[in-house]
Amino acid sequence: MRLILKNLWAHRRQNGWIFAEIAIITALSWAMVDFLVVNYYGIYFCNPAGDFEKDHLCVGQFGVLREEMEKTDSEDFGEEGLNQEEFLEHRMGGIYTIKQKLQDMPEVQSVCLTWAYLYEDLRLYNWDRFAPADDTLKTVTAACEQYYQNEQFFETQGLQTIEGSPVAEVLSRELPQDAIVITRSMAEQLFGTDQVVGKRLANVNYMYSPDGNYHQVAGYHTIAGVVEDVKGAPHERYPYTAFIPNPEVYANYETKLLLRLKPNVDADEFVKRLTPTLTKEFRAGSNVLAYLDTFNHHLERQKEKNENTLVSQLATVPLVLFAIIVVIGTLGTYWLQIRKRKEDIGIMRAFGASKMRIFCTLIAEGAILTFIATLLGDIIWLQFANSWEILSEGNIMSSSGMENDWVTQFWPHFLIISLIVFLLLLAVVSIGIALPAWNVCRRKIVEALRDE
Amino acid sequence: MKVLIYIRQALAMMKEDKQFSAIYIAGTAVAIASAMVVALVLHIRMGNIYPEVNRDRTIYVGSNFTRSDGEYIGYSGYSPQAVEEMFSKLECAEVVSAVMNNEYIYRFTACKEVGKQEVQVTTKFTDPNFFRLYEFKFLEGKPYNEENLKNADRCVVITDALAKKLQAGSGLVGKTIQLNYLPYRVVGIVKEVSPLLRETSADIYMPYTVEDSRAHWYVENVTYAGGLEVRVLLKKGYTREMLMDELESYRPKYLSMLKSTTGEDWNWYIQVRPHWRKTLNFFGEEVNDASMTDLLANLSMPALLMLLLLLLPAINLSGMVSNQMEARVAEMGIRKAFGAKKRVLLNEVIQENLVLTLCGGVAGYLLSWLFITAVRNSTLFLSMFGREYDPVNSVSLQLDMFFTPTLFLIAFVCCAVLNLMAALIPAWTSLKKPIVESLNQKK
Repeated sequence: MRLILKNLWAHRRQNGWIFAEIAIITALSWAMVDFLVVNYYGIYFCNPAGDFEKDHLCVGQFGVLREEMEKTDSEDFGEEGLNQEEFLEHRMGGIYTIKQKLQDMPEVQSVCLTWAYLYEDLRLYNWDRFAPADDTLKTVTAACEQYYQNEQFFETQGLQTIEGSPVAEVLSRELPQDAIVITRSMAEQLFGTDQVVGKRLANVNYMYSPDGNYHQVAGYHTIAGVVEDVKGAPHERYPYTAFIPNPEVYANYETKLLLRLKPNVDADEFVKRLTPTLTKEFRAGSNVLAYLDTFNHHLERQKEKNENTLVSQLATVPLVLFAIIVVIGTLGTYWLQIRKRKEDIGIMRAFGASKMRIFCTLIAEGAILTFIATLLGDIIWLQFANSWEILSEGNIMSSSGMENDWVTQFWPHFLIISLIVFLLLLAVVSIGIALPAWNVCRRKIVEALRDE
Repeated sequence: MKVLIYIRQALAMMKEDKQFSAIYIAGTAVAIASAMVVALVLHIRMGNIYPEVNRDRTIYVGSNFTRSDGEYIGYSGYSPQAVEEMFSKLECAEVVSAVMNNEYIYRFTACKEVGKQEVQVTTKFTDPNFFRLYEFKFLEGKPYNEENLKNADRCVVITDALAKKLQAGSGLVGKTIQLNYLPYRVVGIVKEVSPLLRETSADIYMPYTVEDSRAHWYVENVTYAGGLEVRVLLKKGYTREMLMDELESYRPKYLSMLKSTTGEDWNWYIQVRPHWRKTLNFFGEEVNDASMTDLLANLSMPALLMLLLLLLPAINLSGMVSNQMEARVAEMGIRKAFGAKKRVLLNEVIQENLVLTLCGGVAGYLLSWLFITAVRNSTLFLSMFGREYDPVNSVSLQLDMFFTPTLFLIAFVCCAVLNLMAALIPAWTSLKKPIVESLNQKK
């Protein structure tokens, strides 16, 4: 250790530059690493226990053949004397024919028409605030999904009900007008237990005014069922999701298709087979099945469009750039520095030091340099983090504000991220040092001593 | 001649110390590449690029009508009536074109015939002048005309890329294609415009009167309000301020007419933005006035970013130059002993270094092109141009996005700044050493 510190001090003028650079980069990259770590923690480590099976799920969108529509509209509207609502039902009736045709296919397990489904649009998923009806201050913000009743929604989406809750088939049927189905974690967060069927939930609006925030109850729901945890979006950290039946009875222009295939069917193959003739095979009246895709593919496309992806990329690009800069910096500095130390290394080798020991000594020099520089960078960043309260919370909407994990606590959060920043920089610095260090260690003792 | 000596000296040093030179050039290349990516993005957003070759003279005019109680009418453009009455007689305008503001509302699919493979397409609803204001290259056919616009004819101009995607072969002009299952006649085929040029790029161009789009350019009573953005190509020698003066002359007349028809007082804000102002706005709508000072203030932000991107690698390079100067201390000592001045030596070191920096600069410039080509389909890159990720179509790039004298100049300035930042401090520190101490290193 003394030798390492002595070497660092002896080359302080050259090391000073790389030290300054690491400290600056630590301070600059801290917030970006923070966001990415919290975000990826949400995506990969906060997977709910239940989730839903995605590999056999397909999604679809209907279209309207306008030329056909113009032709039939005038006849239907005039001759049959329908009112506006009946007319719309009549116009969109073809959707049910298409649905039935899909349902009759041997590969299909269940089909449902729905207002929305999980992960349908990651940019615009809805969320709302709920609280127990008798304690409206204890709120949870949850992702809200609306579905049509009597459409096998819960079975097709793949949601599992918990013990003590009505089964999926029952929940998919017609429920009372104020019904709501929530996830297990949401129930536990609000009531302290998952046995909450029949309990009342208040839908709370937070209003913002110059005098301060106040809340207002917008309506009440009765919990009709509880399902295993699912998240409103993959990057959400807490699985608070609510399913609310849509009062609409007939399909309309907004209707989407959710289709579950039998377990032995390959979804990719299924979609590939149907796509070329989709608009030809699946049309009825003025309606047409305009789009069909596997859920996984649809999800990938949603992720690409998602703001979360955008922010993650925005944070990753400078980090990669910083990493390249540090690698080149350490590589350059140590290449030149080690060249001047060839004689010392030759003597050390002559006195019995192994190649590995010398290699490790050089890497340890880099580690200590990185540790001190990162510490300085962290302290600089801490000044901002402390006063601005800018520790990342990721990009989440669903939360109660009462969670008690490492993300929500200042010191564990700060120390974990600081450690990760150090480890990342250590890896990068080690890459920069490894090449020149290995190069000099490989030299024969006689050759190294010749420089002396 | 002196320059040649510096170059020879630098080349000799490069030969002598290949590893140092390689690392130094790599470090410079990364720095220049990152700074040039910022410059290239800025150039693509602001420079004159096909078909927007007159961006420096193009003005975008919007409007905002509010009632006396402050209620906003909800349309940020003009009606065809306003285009006819206000804009068609402008003294300072070479061309005036009206374009629908709402292409995002429509999702169009195109196919050769119903039942054939469908392609998702982007659309632009324009008038015929659009093809005069922007210099589109017509490969076949011609633009639609005023008659088509007036009659709301279902006729379209499509890009060569779309024609290829539809597998329509040649001779598509005069034939029909299906858009959202309705037939449209193709009147012209233009060379594709990169999606990064938001104002002009689309797969299909059609008269703004076609389809139900007409509902979006009409407001009851306020006859000048609508969904059309007016684009004005200024005659050479005319300025945005002159255009504003001309437009302002319509305000009192129209507002008094509006009061007499609606019985209400109205406010009318005429928004006149040059092209750069539409794409560069760091300080919010209220702070900007589109003057030269405003432009410089807005440009200072990317300039600062570029400086930061140069600064970090410069610290690296300083460390390397410092190491190298350590090795040359004795040489410098001898030269100083023979009467060489510190300033001359410093100048020499900086200029020798510049040769290495320029080599890195060229590599960095190439690297920035490669980088942009590699990331052109990513969500982040597209968001810089107001575009969304498109999983189907790859983003096309144009040569004029990368090659302009301005970009070369920026690259050179970046190299010079980086070189100064990297070499000045270590060289000066090293040259400050007393001659005796420097000569002592020779031992």
